[in-house]
Amino acid sequence: MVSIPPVLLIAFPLFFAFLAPLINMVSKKAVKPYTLFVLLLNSLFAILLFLEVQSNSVVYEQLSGFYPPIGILLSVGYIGAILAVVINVLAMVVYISYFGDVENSVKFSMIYMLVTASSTGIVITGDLFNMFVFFEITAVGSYGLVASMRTKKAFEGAFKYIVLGSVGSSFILLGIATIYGYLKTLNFYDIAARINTMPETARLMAFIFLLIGIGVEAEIFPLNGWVPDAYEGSSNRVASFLSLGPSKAGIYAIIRLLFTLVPIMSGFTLALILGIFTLVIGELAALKQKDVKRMLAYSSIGQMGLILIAISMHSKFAFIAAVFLMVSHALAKSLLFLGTRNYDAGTLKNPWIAGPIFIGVLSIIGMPPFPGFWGKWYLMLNLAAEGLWSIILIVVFAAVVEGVYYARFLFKGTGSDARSITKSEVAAIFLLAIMLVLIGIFPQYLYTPAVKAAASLLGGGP
Amino acid sequence: MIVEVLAILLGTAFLMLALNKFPKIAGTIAFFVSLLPFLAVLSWAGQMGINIPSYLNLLHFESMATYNLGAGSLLLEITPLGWFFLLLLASLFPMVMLYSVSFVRENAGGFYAAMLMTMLGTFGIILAKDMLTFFLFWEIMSWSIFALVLRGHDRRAIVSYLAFGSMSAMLILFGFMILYYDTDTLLFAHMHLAPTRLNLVALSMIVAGFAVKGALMPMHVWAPHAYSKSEEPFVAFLSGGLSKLGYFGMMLFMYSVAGMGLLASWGTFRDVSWFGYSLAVVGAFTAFAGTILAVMQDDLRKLLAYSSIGQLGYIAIGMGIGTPLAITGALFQALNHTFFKAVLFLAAGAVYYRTGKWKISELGGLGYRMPFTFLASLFAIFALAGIPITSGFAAKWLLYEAAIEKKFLFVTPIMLIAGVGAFLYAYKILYGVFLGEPRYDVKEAPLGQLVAMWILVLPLVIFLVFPGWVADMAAPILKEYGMQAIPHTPFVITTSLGVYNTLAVIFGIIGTLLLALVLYKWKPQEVVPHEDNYLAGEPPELYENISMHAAYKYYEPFEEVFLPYFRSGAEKLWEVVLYAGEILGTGARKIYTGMVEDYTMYILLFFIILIGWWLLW
Repeated sequence: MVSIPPVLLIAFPLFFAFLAPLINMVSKKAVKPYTLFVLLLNSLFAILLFLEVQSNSVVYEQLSGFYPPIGILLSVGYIGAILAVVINVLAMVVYISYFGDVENSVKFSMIYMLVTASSTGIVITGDLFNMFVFFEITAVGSYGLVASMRTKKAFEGAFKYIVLGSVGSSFILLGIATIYGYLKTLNFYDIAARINTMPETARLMAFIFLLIGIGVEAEIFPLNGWVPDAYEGSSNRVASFLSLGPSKAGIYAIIRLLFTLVPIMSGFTLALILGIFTLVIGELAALKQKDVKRMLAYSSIGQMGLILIAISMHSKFAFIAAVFLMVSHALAKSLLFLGTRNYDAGTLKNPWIAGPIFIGVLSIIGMPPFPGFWGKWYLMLNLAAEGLWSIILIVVFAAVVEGVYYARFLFKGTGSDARSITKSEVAAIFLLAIMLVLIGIFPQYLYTPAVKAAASLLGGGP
Repeated sequence: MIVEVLAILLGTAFLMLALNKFPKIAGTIAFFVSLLPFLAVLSWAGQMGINIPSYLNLLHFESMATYNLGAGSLLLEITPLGWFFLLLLASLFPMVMLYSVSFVRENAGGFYAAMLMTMLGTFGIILAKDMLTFFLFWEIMSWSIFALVLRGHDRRAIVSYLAFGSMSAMLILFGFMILYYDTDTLLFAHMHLAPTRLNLVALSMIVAGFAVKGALMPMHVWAPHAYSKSEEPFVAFLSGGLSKLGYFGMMLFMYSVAGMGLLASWGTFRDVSWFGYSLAVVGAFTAFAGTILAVMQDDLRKLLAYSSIGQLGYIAIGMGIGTPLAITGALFQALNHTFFKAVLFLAAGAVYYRTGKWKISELGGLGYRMPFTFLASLFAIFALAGIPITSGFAAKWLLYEAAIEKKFLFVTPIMLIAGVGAFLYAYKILYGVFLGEPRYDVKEAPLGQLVAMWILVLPLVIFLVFPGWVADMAAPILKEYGMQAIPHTPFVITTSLGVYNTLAVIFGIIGTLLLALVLYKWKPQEVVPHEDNYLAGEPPELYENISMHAAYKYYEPFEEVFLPYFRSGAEKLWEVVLYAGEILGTGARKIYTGMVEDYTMYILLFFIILIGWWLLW
């Protein structure tokens, strides 16, 4: 098997993103196929890397000639490999929807590749400062993507995102400074090995700083004020991309923080409380939304809460549930955002749009045979085995609320007025729906990697 | 062959989507595929102690199957209880498909795909051996129904079905999780539940969840809307067939998983567990209220919907009482309800297909134009009202006896009143739709629709003559619960209160009818003007060309008495719940003020709270 150096996943789109203006000078029409090709190749790299991680073990790569802990280290763990595939493949599929669109901006394609590269960077890095840099690139790129609609709402959303994102970044930096001040290292595993030598207070401060900083990107309540406005302001395709790339990277960083960097039990408790609040408030707020994009954004917040609850259980089954929920959310939410441009009475008349949207809604609500079901099922089994009835009650309540507002959403689409979306968008949502069905019917192909990821993380590994 | 059937149903469902443009071809293929579950029923009949001729046994089905998902396994096995319910659903389903071929026009591919998925879910639910399989297929079934309800474009139907559907799913799931916590297994057969309070909660939740599908009050709110605003062949399957899955689930969990002994350990009332008695009371209330509400409807579909709810209540009564006699009666009622309600909805669909009208006061005299549709619905109405020309009588008789046997002074009278109430609305259908002044010059329903209706009438007649066959089918189920089957021969069922001899009943009723006929013919007849008759009813003001309509304001005094009590019914209760949800939603939304300074404040406040929390720890 070909061995793929992990750095390629970041360097390849980064390099070709900067070549894009050159392509644009040669031929304006070539930019989109070119970008798609780059994303396609990158997805292939991600899949190869994933297979390598599955068959052997964690892949490490040190950069710039220095040995860790001083040099920069990339480490592709099991969970990182899964998310790298999710981010790259889905970014590629969502990009398909841009074809056939009159607007042909090279800057947009550049930023798109950049954010894909940096989101991938977050999930495969082994170094705290590296992660911070990638967070910054992701955030700045996302501000640009949100504002790319050039409407009043887009600028408003982007502005809120910038303000909160910068506050978050400074918190991350404070956290990194605290850790570096005590341990003089930025390598994840070095930190993990020596975190107990830090004084109690400093350790907690570092945890709080990092949690707040990452939480802004991971859409955790109460740090997620930017979410509804940014999603509402951005175009459907950008919203779709944001919900599969940056938000997944944010959740990955939370996992790293909880399991590897500062593995303290009260951290898990705190994450559980935050998860419950995020879930309940997100779902309830979605109940009252008239605008489809805002509703989906609040629903995203709710889903993030659910994932956070699953992660904070600190057990094998719950973590497997979290993996399924992440994949389900990435697939289904990007599908729904893409499919609901021009969502109106009559959209569901077209079976090629109605089918995928229906599948997406079912997976989000957690209905079989889609990945969302397996996620909720394992989470429930785990909660039941531990007898946590109050949390089951909350999850169940949230699911009913979800059912109600998605019913309204689907009702809105029935009728006789027909408005449609472009063929390329239909192709993209169709591909996403097929992936949902395949993972739902053959969960074993995601289950096995998820088991490995859970075992590795719970054992304190990558 | 079990997993293959599931795969074929799934594959055909996808094929249907591709055949969207060719409704007839799609319908024909769907009809032939829909016969597969019925072949399975025939193949398993031998194991259930039912002897059928070997030439009917076309395909061999093994009695259990496993499909490995890696993340869990689907475990499937046929049980006597499952076989009985599969018999009902699998014989109804092909007829509904046959009917649909001439009925469904618009977007037919989607219709057949969703119907086949519904059957896929049903097949899986009935064969499920563990909670994962059960829940997985349960949800597939529920969501395929939702896709079909969505086709009705009715906001109340869609939102109420989904709200109640997800509530039902979550109640069931929560209950399953408690059982899993208690027993550490997902397999039904390995569950030995302890008589704890937690398990009582779990069972109540599960039964409440199934009550949604079984349309028991107060969980029925979705049913009148969904039943009355979707396409008729689907409604016939939903109301006649799929509602039985709710009762299948109740029986499975109350008697197969939990067991009589466990239920009795939470207290008994006249040798019937309080758990079962409460279910019987809820069932009696449903039978009563459903009937009263049905009498007040003018929309034919609404009337049938409420009547369906009322009749389903009887099944709950039998299941709640839980004696061998009561269980046999409940199964018998389930069988009857499946067929008569399907025939009635299909006949209503045929009427609509020809006239385009749903309001009873706009219909009338169709019996002269559509005689075969009329006769089929006549049989169904007899079964519904419990008149002994069909098997409807036997089922209700057994249920009455079961309640009387236990001296239930609350349940029995209510059942009897509801039984009489059924006559009132049965008369309304019969006279309002089919008799009276002919108002439409229409043709008889298409052949496919007629054939479907008449095949579904057959069981009603067969089980009138052989009520003992139902007792035969109930015997292995009762044996599983450690109970003796009630003493019976094909024609005679013996209970502690006496003997039910179907031949005596048949000859008695035929004799009476002959006598009535002779008397009627013997008496001199006279023709009277239209207004001068003994009927009630009033001329509808809106439709000037008719002088009189029997169903119009026929029950006005009755409605005046009951309407005040039923106006603020269960729907109001659920509206309050929905309103509370809206208030919570508004509260949550207000957190997101849209002001970036507020959001920044949240972050800082959160930081301060966390610091405070750590410091005070």
